[in-house]
Amino acid sequence: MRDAVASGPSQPSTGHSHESALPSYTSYNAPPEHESLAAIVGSAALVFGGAALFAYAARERNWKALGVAVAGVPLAFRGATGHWVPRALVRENAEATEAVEATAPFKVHASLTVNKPADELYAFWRKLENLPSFMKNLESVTEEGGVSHWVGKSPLGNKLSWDAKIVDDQPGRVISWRSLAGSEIDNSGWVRFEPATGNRGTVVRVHMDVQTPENLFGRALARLSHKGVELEVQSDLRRFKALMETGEVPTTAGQPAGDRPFINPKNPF
Amino acid sequence: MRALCWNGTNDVRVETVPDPKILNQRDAIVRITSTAICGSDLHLLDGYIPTMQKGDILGHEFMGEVVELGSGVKNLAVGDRVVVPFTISCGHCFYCERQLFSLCDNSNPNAWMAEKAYGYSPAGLFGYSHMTGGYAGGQAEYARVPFADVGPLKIPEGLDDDQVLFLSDIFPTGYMAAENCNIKPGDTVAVWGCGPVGQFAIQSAWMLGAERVIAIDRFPERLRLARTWGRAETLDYEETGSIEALREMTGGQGPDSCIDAVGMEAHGTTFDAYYDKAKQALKMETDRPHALREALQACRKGGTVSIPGVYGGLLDKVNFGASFQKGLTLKMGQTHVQRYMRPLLEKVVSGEIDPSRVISHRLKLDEAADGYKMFRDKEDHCIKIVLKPGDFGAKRGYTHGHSHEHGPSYRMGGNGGEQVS
Repeated sequence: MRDAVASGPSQPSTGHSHESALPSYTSYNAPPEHESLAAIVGSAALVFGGAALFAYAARERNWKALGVAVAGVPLAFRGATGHWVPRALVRENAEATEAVEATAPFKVHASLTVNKPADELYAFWRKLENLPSFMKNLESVTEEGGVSHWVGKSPLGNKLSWDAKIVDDQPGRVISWRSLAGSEIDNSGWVRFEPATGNRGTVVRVHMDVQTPENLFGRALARLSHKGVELEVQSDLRRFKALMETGEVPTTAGQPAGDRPFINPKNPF
Repeated sequence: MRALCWNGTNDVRVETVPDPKILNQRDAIVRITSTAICGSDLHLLDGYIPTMQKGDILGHEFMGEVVELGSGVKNLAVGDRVVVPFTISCGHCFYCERQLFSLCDNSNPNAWMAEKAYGYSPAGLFGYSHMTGGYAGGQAEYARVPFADVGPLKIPEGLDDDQVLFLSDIFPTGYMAAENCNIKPGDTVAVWGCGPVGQFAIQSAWMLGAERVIAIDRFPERLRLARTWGRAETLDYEETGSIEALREMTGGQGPDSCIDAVGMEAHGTTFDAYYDKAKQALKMETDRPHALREALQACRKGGTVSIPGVYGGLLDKVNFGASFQKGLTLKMGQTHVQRYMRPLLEKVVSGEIDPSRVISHRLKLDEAADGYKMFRDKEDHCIKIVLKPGDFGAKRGYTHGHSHEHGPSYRMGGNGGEQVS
């Protein structure tokens, strides 16, 4: 599994022929299998639908309800896995599909143009201790002897930590990293700094491969949280841009307001 | 402090809320001496701007005295008297460097919301929904001003609040609308809407060399102000159809430039206006673009339609074909306020224009909720309301027509009332 992540198609090579080895960013424009919003909503609806049927059955506790509960199983299964029938039961294709899935962690890609020279941006990013100042779900990063220790939060809010090492480091151009064995979250990624056209600063591209656990829960997590994580990375990148261009991250946290309900049903935003 | 809070559609109240604090190094805290209600605030009152939250402090036209500064603000000092632009702009991004301040890349912490709606996010704005940053606004005793080293304009001694307050929004907005018209000698400019922005668009059209200005509205006091102060020819669209009248007035050619200073809540007497009203009531449409439709139709071939009126979303039954077939130029957008504040201040200092002429009412901040209602319903010939927080009104020598004890306070006289009557 580890190796699959490290040598995945999106990992920039560490060799000298760096430029040609880097994948074209356009390849990330092809929608990954989990990306479609409809698919995510559909999956979530099936999982919740299945769960709702179960909940109903648990409350009613009669024969009719048992039938309903049984009907809920395939719904929930389809929602979580994307298949009606367990892959293992489908003889043909089963092996090929599993192989693809095993090497397909969920990928996140984001890019933004920052009105600053690449060297400055690289220098700030390379000091990994700086990353929590614009990455919302990161609490701390410390680097010692070539190994960095990361503490952050998962999309579900629980604390995660992992160790990583820099596998490619070209000043002003690219930093790529990979988590080490034994990490709570198996991930790798890179950030690239490319001169923007028309003297507009630097295009910053971030790519991450996150390997979710190879079980039902992990796949459901990948399916359901992919869009959210991508939005989060995009927002992190936007905060990075603001910090670099203006010296601060825009915020309204701590400003006054009148009485706010916890959740306003009429205006959820 | 006291502040006007949005609590839902048609429900704004002055409440006691915590005082603002410095949150970033480039922030300033301003004690507000004057603040105004804008026509675009009525879109919030009427509930047509999405992403509002109960408790949001409104207001984006304000000025006052700097009382506290973040460590990063070097060009202001405590005690400075400043006008604050309604657009929040960082001064360093691609857009700010090109003076496109209302398109600032960095001032909207909720950029993702605007990106969902518009593809890319415009600048953060004071008191104007969470999609444009969710910043607490200036209809309050104090406000926090982010990027205070870029926005606020210091005001020289000897000028009244009322003369310079509108540099925060409506004067630059009217001016940019006229500038967007690309006025050439001999040009006729038609202005839909004789509210405050329309009035400033009329003034600015003259400044930029228009030969004729035609103003369109239905409220007598607004048309009167457009005639007396604005020296414009006026059209009451309830009496005559604007498009036919404009055709006749321009000798069958049409105005060279048309300004839509009305925006998303246009009122009209033709079929399309009622169609919009019904559709908006059913929540099938956010915007009622009646004035825009007329402007597109009335404009001469190869002319320019300039749109300072606010639009929020999807517009229905807009004759895009007319724009295309007549080769129109469309120009629009939130005002790049910082670009215009200084040159327009000079026009005020030199006496070329007295922006306080649009003020019809001065109220205390605590009377703001009544003010919103009066402004929305155009009661008491209301054109523009300025609010005076705390006891600044008394301190600075403004005379309120009535005190709290004597009946409804919004029925007061004041200079503006005399001007329009």
